[in-house]
Amino acid sequence: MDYVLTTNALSKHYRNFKALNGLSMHVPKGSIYGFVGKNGAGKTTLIRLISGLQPVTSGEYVLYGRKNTDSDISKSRRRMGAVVETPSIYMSMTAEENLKEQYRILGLPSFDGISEILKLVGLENTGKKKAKNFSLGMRQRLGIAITLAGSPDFLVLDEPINGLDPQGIIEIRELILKLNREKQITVLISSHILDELSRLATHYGFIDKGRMVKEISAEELEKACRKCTRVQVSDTKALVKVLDRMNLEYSIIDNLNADIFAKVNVTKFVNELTKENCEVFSMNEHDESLESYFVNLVGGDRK
Amino acid sequence: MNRLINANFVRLFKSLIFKLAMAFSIGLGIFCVLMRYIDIKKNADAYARLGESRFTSVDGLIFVGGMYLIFAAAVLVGIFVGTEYSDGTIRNKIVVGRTRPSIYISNLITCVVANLIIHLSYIVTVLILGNIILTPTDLSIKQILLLTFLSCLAMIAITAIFLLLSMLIQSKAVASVVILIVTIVLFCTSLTIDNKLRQPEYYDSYSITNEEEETTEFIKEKNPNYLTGTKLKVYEFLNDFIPSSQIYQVAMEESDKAGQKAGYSCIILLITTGIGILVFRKKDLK
Repeated sequence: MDYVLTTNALSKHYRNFKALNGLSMHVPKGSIYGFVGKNGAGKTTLIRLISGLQPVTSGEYVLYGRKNTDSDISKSRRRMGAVVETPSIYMSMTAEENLKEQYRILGLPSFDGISEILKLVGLENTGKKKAKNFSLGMRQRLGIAITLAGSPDFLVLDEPINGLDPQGIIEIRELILKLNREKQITVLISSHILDELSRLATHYGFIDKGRMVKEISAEELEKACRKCTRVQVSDTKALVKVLDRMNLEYSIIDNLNADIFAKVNVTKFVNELTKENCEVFSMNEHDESLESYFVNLVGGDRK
Repeated sequence: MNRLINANFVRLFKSLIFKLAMAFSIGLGIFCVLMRYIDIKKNADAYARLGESRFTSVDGLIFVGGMYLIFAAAVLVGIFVGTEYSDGTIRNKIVVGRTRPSIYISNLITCVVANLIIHLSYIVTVLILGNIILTPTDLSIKQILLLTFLSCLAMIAITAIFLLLSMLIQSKAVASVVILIVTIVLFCTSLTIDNKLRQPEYYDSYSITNEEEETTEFIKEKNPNYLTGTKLKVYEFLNDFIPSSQIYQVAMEESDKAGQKAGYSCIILLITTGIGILVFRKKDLK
């Protein structure tokens, strides 16, 4: 698999605080990589490091085949765009002026393409309105528009839907999907709004306390989170016998609980268990969400 | 780096702070000349008694604005560079692969050019308007060019100090306050140094005659504040070294030790830029 970004034992320390502690991650080309973690887990720190805003303490990352220590790493960075925390826009300028300024920084020979970018992000009708008078969603979209000025192959978005209203969230989601599908841009999105992320991501990286806890594709995650019936019984050995006899796929959780990955004929199932002198305490449809998966992985408070 | 400089200049010329600084500079020039013109008209007899043309000419006004324009330079640098941090747009430059030294140098060039334009606007305004409505200057073109050159170099050095502070302090508000405090300190230091160096060696002798025609004579007395030895050398060095003191001397139309002063300004520029790039390269940006 081709990777746009890989990190190897990446660490960043602020005095005694370890914001990143040997993080290793792999962002496949063409993916929408959901970077999931609690507040303070190290998501923004990683983005700052790969954007060149801060030097690494130890470890390394490889961006488009170049290590962070390579003298020409800036060439790889030219292929990426990033919105770190807040959108980086001049508040006293209009959307068009902001894009023109970025075109000049990039040294592009003409301003061709600005109207297309503004249209793509839905800011084509903002006219002379200054960015300071934009809504949060509009600023976020302008921030993304600026990153698109350099026609990036890799887009890094740090909490892009934080603080947005439902309409703003939908707009950003559709924009990200459009960029990924139509322009084949690889996207790395950090977020702790897991429900929203689950609608976008093709791959996930779960980070906790500066370490990667798990990297998993959306397909694998779906399998791990698939629908099941969770049963609580008095004897799981008897349950196993019955489930084997009924030819049902299952997974034993502990001495009392098990998940059954199939539709169960409840009457037949309970009758069979009764024959084995096993009582059924409860049966619940269980659908593990990304949120519960994350909580199970990292434990502790939900964020 | 040319791309960064180009982008910076477009932003500078569109910025409100640059337009305000230009208005302040030109306005100050017009104000100074008009005030002298009004004063001459009001007190024509007194000026006639003085007799010397230097009191009625534009001389003494051409470079005096430099002292006030240091404040304009401080505000301009603090806001122009601080905006990059407060709006987060410095990230746009780094993320697309622009190197930190090139960002620093491009900001230096932009701020230096901006402050020189503001500084020269004042000088040109005073020279043109002053030569029209006041007695034309007695200074030769060579003297004017030399003083302009010295004040510009000192302005460049002072801009480099302001830029160092504003590039290393990420908060626009804090950076602006620190720069203003530094400006006030420089301003006061320059005035103090000048005052110390202008102290006479002796207090003049004088006599007082009262109503009974008794005369009391005060003999020439040594001034305890008069600087000598190492102390004098230190004060003289500081007077020549500190850019605001150089600007003050130019305002007084003193152009001695020009080469030495120019050298000091270059040293300040090189040292502050060197330190600035070194620290900015390693700086954690947010």
